[in-house]
Amino acid sequence: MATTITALLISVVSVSLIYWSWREQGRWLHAFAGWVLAPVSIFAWSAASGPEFGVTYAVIAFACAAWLLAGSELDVSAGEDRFSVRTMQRLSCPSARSVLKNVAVFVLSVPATGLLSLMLSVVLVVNLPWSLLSRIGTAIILYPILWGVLSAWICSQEKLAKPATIVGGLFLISSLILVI
Amino acid sequence: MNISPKLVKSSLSSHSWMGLLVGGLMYIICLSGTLVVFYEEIERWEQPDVYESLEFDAQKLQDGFNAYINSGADITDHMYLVFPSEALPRAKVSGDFEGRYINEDGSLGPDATDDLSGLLTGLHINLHLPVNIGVIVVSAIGALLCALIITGFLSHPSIVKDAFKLRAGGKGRLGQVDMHNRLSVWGAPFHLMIAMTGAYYGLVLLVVAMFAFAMEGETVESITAKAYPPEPVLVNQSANYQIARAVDQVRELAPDGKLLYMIVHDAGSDSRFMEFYIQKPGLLAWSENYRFDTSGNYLDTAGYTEGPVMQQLLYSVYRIHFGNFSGLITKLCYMILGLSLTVVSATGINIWLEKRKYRDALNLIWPGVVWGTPLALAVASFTQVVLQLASAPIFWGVMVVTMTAGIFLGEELRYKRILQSLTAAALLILVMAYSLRFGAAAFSAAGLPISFVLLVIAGVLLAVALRGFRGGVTTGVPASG
Repeated sequence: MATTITALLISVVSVSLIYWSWREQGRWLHAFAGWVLAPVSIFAWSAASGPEFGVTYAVIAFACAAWLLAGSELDVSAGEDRFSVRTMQRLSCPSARSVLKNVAVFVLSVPATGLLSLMLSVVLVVNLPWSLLSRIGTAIILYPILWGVLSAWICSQEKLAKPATIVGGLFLISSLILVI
Repeated sequence: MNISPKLVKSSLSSHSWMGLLVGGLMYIICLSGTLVVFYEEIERWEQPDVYESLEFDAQKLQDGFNAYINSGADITDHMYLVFPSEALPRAKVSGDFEGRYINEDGSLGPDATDDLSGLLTGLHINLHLPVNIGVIVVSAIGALLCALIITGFLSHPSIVKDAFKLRAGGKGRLGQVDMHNRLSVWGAPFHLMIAMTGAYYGLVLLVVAMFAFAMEGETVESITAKAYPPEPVLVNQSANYQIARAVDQVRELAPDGKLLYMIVHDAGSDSRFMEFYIQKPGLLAWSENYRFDTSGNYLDTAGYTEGPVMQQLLYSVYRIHFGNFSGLITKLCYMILGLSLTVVSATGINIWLEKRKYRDALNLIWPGVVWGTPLALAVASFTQVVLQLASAPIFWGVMVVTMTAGIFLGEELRYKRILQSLTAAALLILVMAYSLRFGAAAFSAAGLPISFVLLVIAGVLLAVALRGFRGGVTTGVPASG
């Protein structure tokens, strides 16, 4: 119980220091200490509940403490009180060009990138000298991250030629590695 | 924090595009996921008139299990005996499709139904699509949530300046922006954990298939077989299961373990064997498994809690994703954090809608998604639990109605209040009809807690709606969802 309370305190102090530095602008040392304590809280929670539960508890405690402090800053009078009466329009039909571009972004950023990330995540680990289960586990962790990062990058591009070329190139390279 | 304006602009554009692509579905997945955290409590609530006790006599459960097997019930490849737990203190015997509860004296009780909890888990895991497709769609949304988290940070240049700022009270989009940013920034580590573990379910088979393709001489089956310990090879096994004898040994093998359930594998053949799933304290891995022949002789231990770190991590995914550990407090934390992601999904689209200089049908459809989903869930719960109708089509039917009705009303704020009032009314009717159907059992430990929570939700929704109606309705005021 004492170790749990200590872990909870470290989480609360960590967020409180970050909050304090935010309130009193320029107290960067507090912010630094808060951000150092945040990972320390993971060890404290792990000491209290074992590493498996500890990481999860540390994440939950950090988020809840931060929301409580943000809640204490709730300013109901500061909301933007504008009654901008906006006119109702008919749902506009997008141009064929716009539809095509959005379809292309979708195809490139969701199914194409999904397939590419699958291949990349396997290519990156398949030949590592680890057990099969460890390689599969690492690929499963990598897959959604790679997919997310690549999708985010593709959607941020104004023109699709560059991402299409890069996705195509990576697809070819990873296909070759997988087949060979 | 110095992020180049160009990167901010492109990240914001990427964040908006992906948010619009998956926002609606993500909202439904997050809301149903928040409820699914309590699927055991919901399963208990939907059938409150069943014998309950945390304590059990293994001999009586054995009698009940064997009685079910010999009752002419459909014997599927796997047969299950679920032991009582804190969240669901009742014993159940079942096949893959149907089952019965077991009474105190070992006789068979009423048919077991988990249709409402099944409706919610089906919505969360595969959006009621065919499972193979739905799981991949939901997992892809999990991967895109990773992308949304990344672009969300990059498109937020004032992340430090606004770290704890929370403005509300006006009718503009500032309150929505602050709510969206505060919940998403501080909840990001948890949201990322949920996104990655959520993506796991649909992607794991694809990854295994790709490994099989890349590795010479391997197939999906051969790789899967390596992930699980080999099954014992038995012959001439009787269909009379000596469960009590096996339970005694399990208690010696894992004295601190919690008995979850027992599965009979290959139940239709004479190579059948029993596998007991035991949750060990302090470990996130779902279970350690002990195998026995049907006479109750110990065969071996699967070793799920003793393998390499990565193996244990993979066996922990379910509990990390659903908060299925450490009881009610963890579940409540998961509910709060899950609800935060639900609010983030809704406010994200609200912000986009309010940023536009005009309103169109999308402004009227979106409240039908945000406030139509709870209404559809309330109606489907009524038709499922009270009328015993298969309610997935009813859920989606109500969703279609709520998404289109707003267009005819032409006023989103008023429509939002109407949907809130209707949801409150539907919840009140649900609780009343439930109480009438189950009588005294509705007020038992199995029925009362969820009914009480539903009444509280109904009260809050009604209060919010009435406050909104009294506050007046002005066409064109922002705050859509």
